[in-house]
Amino acid sequence: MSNVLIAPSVAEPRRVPLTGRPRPGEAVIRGALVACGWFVLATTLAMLGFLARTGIRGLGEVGVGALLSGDTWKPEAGSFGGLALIVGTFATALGAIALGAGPAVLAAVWLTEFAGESVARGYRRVMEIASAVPSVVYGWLALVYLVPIFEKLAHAIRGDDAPVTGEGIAASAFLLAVMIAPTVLLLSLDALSRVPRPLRDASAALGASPWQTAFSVSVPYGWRGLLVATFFGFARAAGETMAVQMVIGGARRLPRDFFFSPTTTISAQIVMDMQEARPGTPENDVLYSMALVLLSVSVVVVLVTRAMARGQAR
Amino acid sequence: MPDDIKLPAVSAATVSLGQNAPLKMRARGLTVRYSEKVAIKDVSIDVHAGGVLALIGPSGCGKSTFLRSLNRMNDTVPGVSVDGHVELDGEPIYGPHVDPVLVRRRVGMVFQRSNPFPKSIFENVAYGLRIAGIDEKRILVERVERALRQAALWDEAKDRLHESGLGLSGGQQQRMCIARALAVEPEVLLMDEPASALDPIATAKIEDLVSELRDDLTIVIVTHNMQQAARVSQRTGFFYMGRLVEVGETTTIFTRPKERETEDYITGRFG
Repeated sequence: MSNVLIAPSVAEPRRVPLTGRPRPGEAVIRGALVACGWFVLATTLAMLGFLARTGIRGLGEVGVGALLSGDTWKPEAGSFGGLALIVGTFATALGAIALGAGPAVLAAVWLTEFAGESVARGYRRVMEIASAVPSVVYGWLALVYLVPIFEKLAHAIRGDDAPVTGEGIAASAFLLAVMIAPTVLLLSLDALSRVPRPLRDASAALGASPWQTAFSVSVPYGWRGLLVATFFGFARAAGETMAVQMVIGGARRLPRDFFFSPTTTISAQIVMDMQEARPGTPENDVLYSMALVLLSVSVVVVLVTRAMARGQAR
Repeated sequence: MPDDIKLPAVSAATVSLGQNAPLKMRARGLTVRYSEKVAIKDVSIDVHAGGVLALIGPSGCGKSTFLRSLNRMNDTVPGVSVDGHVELDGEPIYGPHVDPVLVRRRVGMVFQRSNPFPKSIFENVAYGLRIAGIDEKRILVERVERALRQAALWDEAKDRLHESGLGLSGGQQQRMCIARALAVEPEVLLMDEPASALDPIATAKIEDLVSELRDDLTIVIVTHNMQQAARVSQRTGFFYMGRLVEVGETTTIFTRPKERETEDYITGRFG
């Protein structure tokens, strides 16, 4: 391939022909770009292929029913009940949406409709920085400062002798809410900024107050985009690993107290178990099965989100 | 009233009209800036109750800016500042404690490009009523029908009230927007080049509409089309480079303008 691209141009005389052959530099660049394109696609496909193959093998070994409904996760003892992991993942992600997405969307409404231009711009900058903070920083801060608060809270709610700790679904959901809020807010701002100015003007000219315009025009017009922002936040929360692993408690079972005692999530458990699992064993394969479950959830969310974004574009 | 020198000119024009209609709105020494750029400077004008006041002038002369300052729509533009005095029925609309939302309920507006909400025809027209707190179905139905009849759209729309307003033609959409503005029963209707995006037939319908509506309310219409101003208005003001050059009876402005700039503009020497 390389001699086809380079050889003819070596003998090219120094003149500028009207019918050109590929110039050597361009051929090299083109080749490099094509190679990069295939490289990225190939690695991604290889990864997905490996994940799917190993994950499906794991499902076959353990059984889909057992994996999705069994409540005891002890791979070393041959017990592969993934229910606690799945419950932990959904509970923390849904909790994060409940606590974080609502305020983020409403804050975006405030910034778009009420806050001044300079306030909105400054707020946006802060959120852009916040959304770029590595998750380990969030997790660490949460472990040091958030978990003790939740421990007090748990005892205050459940009683001093209750078997509760600061770790668990409540603390993780709160942490994830804080983590996804900037992303949801930024995406919501984008969605609301697509509401045409003439529609806002029409509403204002009819005697609508700013909040009436916000909730009668802007939110109804941009609701798909706001939903997309929320779904995106959910996908991010469900996939978050590092920070959640630090505050979920790391107990491989359904939580004794749903909100305030240690449990686990899919991604956190994968991190904890992967070092022990030898390739080729069911313990190993089943981790890929769980990863596949997580991926499926994300894919569904992405597809739904895309479909909605298309609806918005129309 | 920072500039009293302007006042006699306006008063003289008013007197020469021989028009006894009471004042509906009144602007004195109105200056509007966008950031630092002066859009209109020291504009004083009377808007008489009933009838149509047309504002003409070349693009960028400030006529739309002036129009938007009559219902405080300029407030929604970032970086705008308004100096001077505007009254509605003798009350200052830029006074302290004045709620621009309440000003806009009395002074409605129709925009250059129709801007229907992505809702049904019925809900478009009912929008202003709903936000004013009117939820009773019977009243909504009655007022929507009346507004659509006033806007000469009822016959075309009555069988498709619950279809999307976006399905109407451009001219119908603009008439729906007029109906929407009329439904809240404003006292003054501001129209910002309402027919400039329409074909001649749709334009003629809008003009007929303006002529009919002037019995019920006060209309201020901005237009770049001098024939339109001549056809629909009783009084005309000519804006040039942010100033109100001259205002007076439409027939006078078009046949015996006082100012040279007005004459040059209406005879097509510039603009």
